[in-house]
Amino acid sequence: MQVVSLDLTNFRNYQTLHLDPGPGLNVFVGENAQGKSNLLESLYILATTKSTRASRDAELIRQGTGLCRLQAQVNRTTDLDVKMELAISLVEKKQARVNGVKHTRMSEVIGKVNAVLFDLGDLEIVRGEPSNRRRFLDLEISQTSPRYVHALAAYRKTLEQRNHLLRDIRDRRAGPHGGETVGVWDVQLATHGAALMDGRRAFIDRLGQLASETHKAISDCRDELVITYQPSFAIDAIGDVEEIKREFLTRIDQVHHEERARGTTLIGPQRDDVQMLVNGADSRLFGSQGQQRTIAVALKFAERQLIEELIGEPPLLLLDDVLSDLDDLRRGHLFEFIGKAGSQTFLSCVSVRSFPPDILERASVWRVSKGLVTRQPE
Amino acid sequence: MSTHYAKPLARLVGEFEKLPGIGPKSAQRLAFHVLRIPEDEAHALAAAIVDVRTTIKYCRVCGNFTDQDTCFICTDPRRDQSLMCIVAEARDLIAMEKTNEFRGVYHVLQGVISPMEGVGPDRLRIAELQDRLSGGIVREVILATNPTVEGDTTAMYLARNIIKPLDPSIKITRIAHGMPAGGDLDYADQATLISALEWRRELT
Ligand SMILES: Nc1ncnc2c1ncn2[C@@H]1O[C@H](COP(=O)(O)OP(=O)(O)OP(=O)(O)O)[C@@H](O)[C@H]1O
Ligand SMILES: [Mg+2]
Ligand SMILES: [Zn+2]
Repeated sequence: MQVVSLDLTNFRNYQTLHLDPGPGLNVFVGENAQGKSNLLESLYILATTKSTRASRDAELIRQGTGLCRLQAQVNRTTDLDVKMELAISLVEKKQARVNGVKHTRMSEVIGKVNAVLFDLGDLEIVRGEPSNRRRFLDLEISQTSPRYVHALAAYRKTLEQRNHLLRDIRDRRAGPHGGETVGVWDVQLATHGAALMDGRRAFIDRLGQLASETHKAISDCRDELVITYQPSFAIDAIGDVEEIKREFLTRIDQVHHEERARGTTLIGPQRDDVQMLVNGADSRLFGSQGQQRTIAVALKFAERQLIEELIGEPPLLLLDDVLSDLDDLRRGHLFEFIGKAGSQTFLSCVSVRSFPPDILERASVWRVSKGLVTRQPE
Repeated sequence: MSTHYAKPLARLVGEFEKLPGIGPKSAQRLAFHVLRIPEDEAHALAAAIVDVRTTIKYCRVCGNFTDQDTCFICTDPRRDQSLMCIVAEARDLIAMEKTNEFRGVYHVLQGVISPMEGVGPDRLRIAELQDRLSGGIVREVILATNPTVEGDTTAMYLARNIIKPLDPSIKITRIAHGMPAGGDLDYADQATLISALEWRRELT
């Protein structure tokens, strides 16, 4: 898909912006705090209705104003072209229009435009706590599997209720028959938990393989990345969801006394992790900054590939500050990869000095300065 | 806000605001409505509220609301006493009754198991249920709690821990959930579709 025009009004540091991006690689270059990340963010919001950086929508509205508008014309090959409009206001509910049709339920407009974003926060997937990796899994799998969304909501609710009950049992507040109900919560936990584990296992299998290939290419065949699912208890690599559920119930039985003594659930997807080994070493602990960034980038390219397979056309690729920490060799391979991927790409950086000349030749280069964007050379 | 109103009016607005689903704006509209209607209508409304609280109680047998000792369903001789539908709340019973389809009797639990809200089995009308089932008259129990995590858990608890141990010959069924009748696949939300798929049955 192709963004052929982007219009912003009172979004972050943009008073008004009109942009006609080029079809392939678009490079946004500028000093710090000029609006490069903001611009990429606006495209991500048009695709997902949400920002990854802002904790509240109000942060997106230009200070001193009360309403911001984002609008993009996106041409697609496998579906109708989309004119996507979003209005975010301090007082009213967020509103979207898709080809002029009004929506206030955001779930109805997600997926009309597809985008994959790499930003600084994604490094936490590699180097952060396990919760970062679980959030990444949930977010990615949810995008393509309604069943997973359903299981996730049911699992969280069940876990909350079960933890509450275990705490009551520990503190002897569970009532005369409270303890008897744990077994029923166990079944619920295992049912929804097995669905999550099954989804995560399949996703990591596929994503890991793709990421590994990308990673190998970007690192000039020097680094071998192996991504594996690390559930809170071992499961058969090929067993079906029913088998996982049975194993779940067996395991939860084994921690019966400990759970009641500690007052919390001790196994399940809330304790899952993903291991990323580079040449056999845990990259979370031993990876260099460049190596960690390479992994995060490889994950995003793998995600891009998965989405393309699913929707039948390349999604937008938004790469914020992707080049820092990478040496020239890795940068070169990354540019090759961007070219091969075939996604319309929006890349931000502080300088184009180290860019390969042939890449610059074919790219659309834009200078971003104080919320103004101008085509280079002017 | 109450400073904008005369005291008695502020009091009424405040009372309306406590009602479920009523915000400050609706509360104000309702209170002004009460002031506009004829005085005897307003008295009738107040009397109805007092009356319902003094006369309505729970049916001794099933837990439904009634102004008698036993509700009109439990005393109806045409009802099939061997078929029992278990619901969480009296309002679910009323929803079921509106269909005019179900000819059995009910049992109202008056809640669902929810540790977060401090509701365990001892807070539900389970002892009464055990009494009714031990008579040997009920042959089938339909578990009609909502398809939520708590509703499912409650249904499973009743089936495994209460009904089966008491009388394994009682048939236990769970209401199906999925597509609304006359519903359009295109418009159903995904959770509904998933459960419709899960609860599919063979066409013969
Ligand atoms: N709601 C807002 N209203 C006005 N200005 C805002 C708003 N939100 C962010 N800004 C400003 O936008 C500016 C540019 O932010 P942005 O993150 O896009 O910079 P950048 O060009 O990506 O810089 P860097 O190279 O440091 O990453 C910041 O100075 C910030 O203060
Ligand atoms: Mg930035
Ligand atoms: Zn009754």
